[in-house]
Amino acid sequence: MIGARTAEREHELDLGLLRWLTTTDHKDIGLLYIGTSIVFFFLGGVESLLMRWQLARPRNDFLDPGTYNALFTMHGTTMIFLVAMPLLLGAANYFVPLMIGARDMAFPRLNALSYWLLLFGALLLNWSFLAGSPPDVGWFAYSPLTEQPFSLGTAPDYWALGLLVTGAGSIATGLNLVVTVVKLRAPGMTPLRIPVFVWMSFITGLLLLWALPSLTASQVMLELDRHLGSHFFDPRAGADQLLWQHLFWFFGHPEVYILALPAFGMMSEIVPVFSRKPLFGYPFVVASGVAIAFLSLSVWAHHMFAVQMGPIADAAFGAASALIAVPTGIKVLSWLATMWGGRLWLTPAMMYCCAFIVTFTMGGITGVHFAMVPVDLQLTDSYYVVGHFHYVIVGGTIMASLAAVYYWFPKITGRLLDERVGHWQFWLTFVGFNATFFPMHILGLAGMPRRVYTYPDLPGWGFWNAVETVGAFGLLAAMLLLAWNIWRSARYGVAAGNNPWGGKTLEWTTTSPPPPHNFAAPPVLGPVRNGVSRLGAISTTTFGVLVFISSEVFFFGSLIAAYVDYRTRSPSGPGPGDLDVGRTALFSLALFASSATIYLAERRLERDDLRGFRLWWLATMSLGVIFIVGQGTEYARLYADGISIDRNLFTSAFFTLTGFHGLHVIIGLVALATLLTTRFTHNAARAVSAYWHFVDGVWVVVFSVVYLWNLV
Amino acid sequence: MLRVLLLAGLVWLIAACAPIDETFQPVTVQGRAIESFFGIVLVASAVVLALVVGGLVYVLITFRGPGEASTVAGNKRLEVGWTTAALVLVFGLFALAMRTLGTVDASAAPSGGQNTVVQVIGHQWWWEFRYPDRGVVTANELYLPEGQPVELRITGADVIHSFWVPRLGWKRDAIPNKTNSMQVQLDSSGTFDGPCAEYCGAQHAWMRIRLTGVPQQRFDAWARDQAAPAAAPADAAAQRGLALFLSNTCVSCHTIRGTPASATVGPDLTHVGSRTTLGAGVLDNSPDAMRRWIADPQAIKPGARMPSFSNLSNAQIADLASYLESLR
Repeated sequence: MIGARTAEREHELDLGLLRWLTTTDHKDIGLLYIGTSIVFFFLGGVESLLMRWQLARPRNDFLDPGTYNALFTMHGTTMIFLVAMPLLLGAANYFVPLMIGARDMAFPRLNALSYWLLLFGALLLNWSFLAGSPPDVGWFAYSPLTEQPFSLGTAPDYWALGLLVTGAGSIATGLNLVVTVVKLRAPGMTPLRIPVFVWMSFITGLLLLWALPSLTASQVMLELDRHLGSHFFDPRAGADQLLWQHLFWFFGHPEVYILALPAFGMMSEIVPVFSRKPLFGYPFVVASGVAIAFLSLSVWAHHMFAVQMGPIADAAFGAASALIAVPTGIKVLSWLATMWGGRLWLTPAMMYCCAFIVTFTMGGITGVHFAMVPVDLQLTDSYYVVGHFHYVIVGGTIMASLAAVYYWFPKITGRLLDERVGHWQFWLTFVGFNATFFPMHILGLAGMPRRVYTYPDLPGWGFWNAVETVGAFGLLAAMLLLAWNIWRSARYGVAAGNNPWGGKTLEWTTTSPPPPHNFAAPPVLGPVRNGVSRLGAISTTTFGVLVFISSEVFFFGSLIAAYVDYRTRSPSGPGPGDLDVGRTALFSLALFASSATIYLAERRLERDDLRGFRLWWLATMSLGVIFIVGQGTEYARLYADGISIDRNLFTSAFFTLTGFHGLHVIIGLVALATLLTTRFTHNAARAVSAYWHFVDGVWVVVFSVVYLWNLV
Repeated sequence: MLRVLLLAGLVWLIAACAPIDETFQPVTVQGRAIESFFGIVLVASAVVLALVVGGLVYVLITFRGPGEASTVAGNKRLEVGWTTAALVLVFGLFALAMRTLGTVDASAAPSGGQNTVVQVIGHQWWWEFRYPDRGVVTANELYLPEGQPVELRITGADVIHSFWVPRLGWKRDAIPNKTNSMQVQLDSSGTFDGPCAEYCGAQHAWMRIRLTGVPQQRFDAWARDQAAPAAAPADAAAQRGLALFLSNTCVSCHTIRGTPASATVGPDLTHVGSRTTLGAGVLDNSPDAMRRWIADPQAIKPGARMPSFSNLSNAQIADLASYLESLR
């Protein structure tokens, strides 16, 4: 109790701007995310309205092509990375700890860092407007358009670097969510008692960890191409033009589910409450979420049927993409079945849930059309696909988020949103949405390609585009009305009480808004089990490092994939034959041996033999230094022979892969040294050791692929 | 009165939807296979959507308002049932998709090497079409013989483009360092337009394709005309135009076969007068359009690779245009 009271006093003292700059409270950070998302929602919305104004009639000259191309690039990038993701991550930040009865996220300071990375990445990206070179390469930035000489300015750099920064924040948030859900649940909250929104946030966390690194890796390669002269995507050097597409969509498709799964979670919380009936088929809903996550990592190339990958790849990726429709469909049916036999309370939140069922189903069905390879070949890159993904993201993610706004606003502010305004706002949104995005399907079937700044005056094209423009302004009106409702209700709204809707999840058991420590007494759902599970034995810190390592695997996986693709692809210049396998094997032995020494150090620590621990720990560091020096001399020798990163495809991939590994060894050495110079816990030592083993393990793979392969 | 208005509205709506014929009236053997499969997919989609929306409406009407709610939290048999039904439906459709794809791919097999081969090369921002066995090189306008299997070999010269004529029934990307193949057999004559479908930079919007399908005999005649070198300028204006063409930077980018101009950066202009559009679809070809285009392409197609020729006088531009228009 004393701790709680102090926390409350701190809270009062820190009021003001300073609180928002220094906060590590998950609720504050959640609100910062949501607030940032709203600001960028209006910015992205203005970008789309400018485009719609330009497209309202054929051969319009309101915007020049350069401006239009920047607007559609920034609209897509903003809406996905700076609106939808922060909105969902903000909601997860705010509600996951509350829903599992925790006091905060597992790593509150990392959580704050994630948010500030997002904000500064977003500012960097948008600084490009002021600097006069906004990205104009499309949100998936296909190579080689992003390469010199096709993009001479800094536009692609803003895109790549801005998203690198926000991406780092998102990976950290993913890590935090996963560790929080695994480690901080209230006693007795067994896996099948976890609220669906928490389940979906957990799965989203895993997807962020596993999907984002391939985007990071490809953006790193792009920047190396643009500034260090490597050739990853350079057609003149014979680069594989599908490499970018594979790496990008390996991120890009799971990204769709990163945006969809939390929305499914919101639906699964809200629909039962307003149906006054438990969720229908909870195990199926959760299992289908897990299935979607894993399937989503294997469907990326359905974005690439038109590149002609061959019948086997077409069939495999087509089948996986068709399959993913099944668990998604199950969820929609489960929500309908939840409503069936219930007593429906049609609040604005519930209206948005109903709209979701219609619009998201529509988007899901047209999604299946793109899994049907021959149909995809006709419709991909047309306005049909623009219509499709707006039905998924606006009709899915945004509809569910709007439901969540009406549902959770009273918890956050203690006041209800005005319901009458809410109904008006709902109908404006629903009609505006369909008027904006439905005609896109017609235009796609009529042959209108996406991403054109203007179009010829063909029959029907001007008419449907004008309808879309009118619809888009309807959506603007709806969103302004929402902003007004939020602003007004936050001040003058009806007091909500702790649980205005009769919600059953834990966030409704505390006050509205919740106190800084969330709960007066930590919730307990059932008996604490006596036996500690294997997972329970691992400390939160070590578990965090292990989760981070799982993400790094995907980063190195991308670099290794690029190396394998480019190992012998260049017709001339240096190749794997120029590497000295024997010499590298020697200093590799030092790194391999260091895994043994760090293991011995850990054993000494467990026996409280601090002297022995220090000795083996220092031995580990020495071996690490030997490796780095060895690698340095190898680079020097290659450089002396005129072999540098800018020579050809092999050198690009070789130096990037081994260089990033070397960087990880150096970071490991810093961690090892830092530990020795500070008062440390056993858990910290174990966490550093886990990371060091990983760095070692990566080298086993890299050494095999880069060096040993040459002996075969 | 209301009924008449409603009927008129419906007729008008159907008319507004008519352009979807681009997808639903394919003109190739392969496109028809894809289109009829798509028809099946659309019917299945409409049924599923109707069931979900119908179910929602029914639930909204029936279970509204306060009272005692049921407490059912699941039904294993129902859940397994609809999962199975969804699997069967999706994979039934997918099997048909693979069969359709097989039809499209099967026709890609070489049939004795008799097929006409056309190289399709995407440039920023125009299309180059080469007929190697006919000695024809043209731009933005593609002629194909009706009823004959033709192989399009598609690639990109700079960045990635995508060759899409909706009435053909499907598209293929034009990718640097990769040659894609598209086997088409037109089953009717006519003019069919299409765009570049992959975003490729500033002027992606004006990178349009005009495909003209003609009977074999007319195709042969067309190919003979196109293979011929450029006609000598007939009148004084055209003669001055040729001289201007050769003495300006036109020759740094363009070829006119039969003259010293032989650069391959921009479109081959040997028969530019016979084309129906300029600037890959941005203007309809006419002497006036040609003058405007030469004088200031940057005003008409901003970002295009061709510079404006403001250094030339109006008279000189008129001479150039009259020469180029004479290249038929």
